[in-house]
Amino acid sequence: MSKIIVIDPGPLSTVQDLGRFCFQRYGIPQAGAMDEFALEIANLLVGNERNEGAIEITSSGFKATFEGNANIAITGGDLGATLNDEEIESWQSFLVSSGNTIKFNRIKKGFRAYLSISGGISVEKVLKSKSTCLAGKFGGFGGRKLRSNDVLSCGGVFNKVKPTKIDVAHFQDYHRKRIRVILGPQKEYFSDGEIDEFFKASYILTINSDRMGYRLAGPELFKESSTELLSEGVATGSIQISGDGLPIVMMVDHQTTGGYPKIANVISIDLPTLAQFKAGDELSFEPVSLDLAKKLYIERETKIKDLEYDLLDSKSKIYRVLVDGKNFDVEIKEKE
Amino acid sequence: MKIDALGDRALIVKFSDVMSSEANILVRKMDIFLSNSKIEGITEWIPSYSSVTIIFDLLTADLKFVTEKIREFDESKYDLTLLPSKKIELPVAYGGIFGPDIEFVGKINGLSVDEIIKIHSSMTYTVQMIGFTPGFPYLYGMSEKIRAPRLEKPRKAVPEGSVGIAGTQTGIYPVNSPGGWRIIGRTPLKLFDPQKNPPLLFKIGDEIKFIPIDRKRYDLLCQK
Repeated sequence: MSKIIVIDPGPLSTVQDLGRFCFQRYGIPQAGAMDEFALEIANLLVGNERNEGAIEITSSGFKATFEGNANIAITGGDLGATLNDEEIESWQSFLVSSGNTIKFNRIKKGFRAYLSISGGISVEKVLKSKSTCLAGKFGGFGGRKLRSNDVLSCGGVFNKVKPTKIDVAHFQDYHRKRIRVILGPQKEYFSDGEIDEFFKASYILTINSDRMGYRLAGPELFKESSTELLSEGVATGSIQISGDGLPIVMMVDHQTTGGYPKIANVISIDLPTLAQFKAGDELSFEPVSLDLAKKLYIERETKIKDLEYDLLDSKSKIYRVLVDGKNFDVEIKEKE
Repeated sequence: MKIDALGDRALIVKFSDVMSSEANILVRKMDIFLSNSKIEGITEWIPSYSSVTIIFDLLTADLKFVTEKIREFDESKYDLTLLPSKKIELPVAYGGIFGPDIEFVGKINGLSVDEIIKIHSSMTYTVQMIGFTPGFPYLYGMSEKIRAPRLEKPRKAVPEGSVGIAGTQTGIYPVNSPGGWRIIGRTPLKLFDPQKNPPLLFKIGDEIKFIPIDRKRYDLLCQK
């Protein structure tokens, strides 16, 4: 069994998986990795299930040593990682042994990195997830962000996966500054002119942005209707226009309900890109259709599935086929 | 019933633009419909005052598919008497260190602290929505006589169990959190426990009644 010993946690490092589902009805945020794509790839690269727990590292400063042999992978933002003081590139896996030290030295690109380890981080699931719920102080590692001297045990299995590097551009466009959205559901709260303005505007991510939400600075939008919206369930990626006319994008730790009108929602495939924005970064929004959003999402999913099977190095191939608008996985095995 | 896309993997089913017990009953009926019908691709849903937000998996469902299934909802099939709801009595120590704003609520309404306690604890409230923090219930049915505006500047820390008023609503803070509601008392009961499933003592549609207790009883219940 291998271990990760935290030397310096940096400003915010937490254990996350893909999130906590089915409990938003109790006011419990979904949580999970801000960049779910990067978490999935980090897990696949070390032979884990996609939804395993890994460490989400925010900004630079994180430093840890390993105990025992393990496969690790780093994905997500490029935070200037070094392994035993040698620079290592993101989106790949490595073999580590006792005493090896990993460090994230400075922000080069993006804002959140994922550190996965073969077997996953061994923390107990709370409400069916390993994710840290910061608002409720439960889940993850003791319901809190990591501190110096925390020792994280990792799953007992040492998976035999060969160290691999992926070409991230094949899967996800992290350079995109124009975030794609689906208009609505409360577009009638704004005039056509205000909606135009929203799509023409350049916004800047403010320092008051975190895992709960991104507060943006830019042109203020004035609501057509003065009627308050009755609070309703929101989703990750929902863009609320708050009382001061500025957008707040709901991120994974968002409150489950909200009462500001939602002008638009970020499409699922662009959420990982958005997760890598940091304070001061510029962004704008572009409306797209539901069909395009779905098509892009399924395309990326197919690529992830392909990678998953390649990494498994099995003698079977699984193909995804579309029949009557529904997806089926067909497994084809080589004859013995 | 109005159905709108909330991005590419969620939608909102709305029954009314305003708060009403009729709309909230429809929400509860829809909640049961969704539990019973187990529609493929729906991962979870969030009932609120007058709407239900449904989240689905883009790989197995989409807006068109889920909308078609939702249209099969026939509210007349759900007899109100069959809606599962619990009646919960919550002991509350009003005023003092547990309710720092109770005197303010009295003052602006021209009532004594005792009258505030009497009015607040005489009503039966319905949990119409859960949100804001893990387990925070928005309770419907408070008397207009004890309404109070939110704090201008929210407190950085409101202790777990605090009972508050905002406008004509009342609610309970199940976990320590920042908060802007006027705090009038505190319950010693643990409402939220993530180690249990369900993690919360109540659900949408349940009825809550507050029972005034004194400090001695509060301490006793705290020890349990």
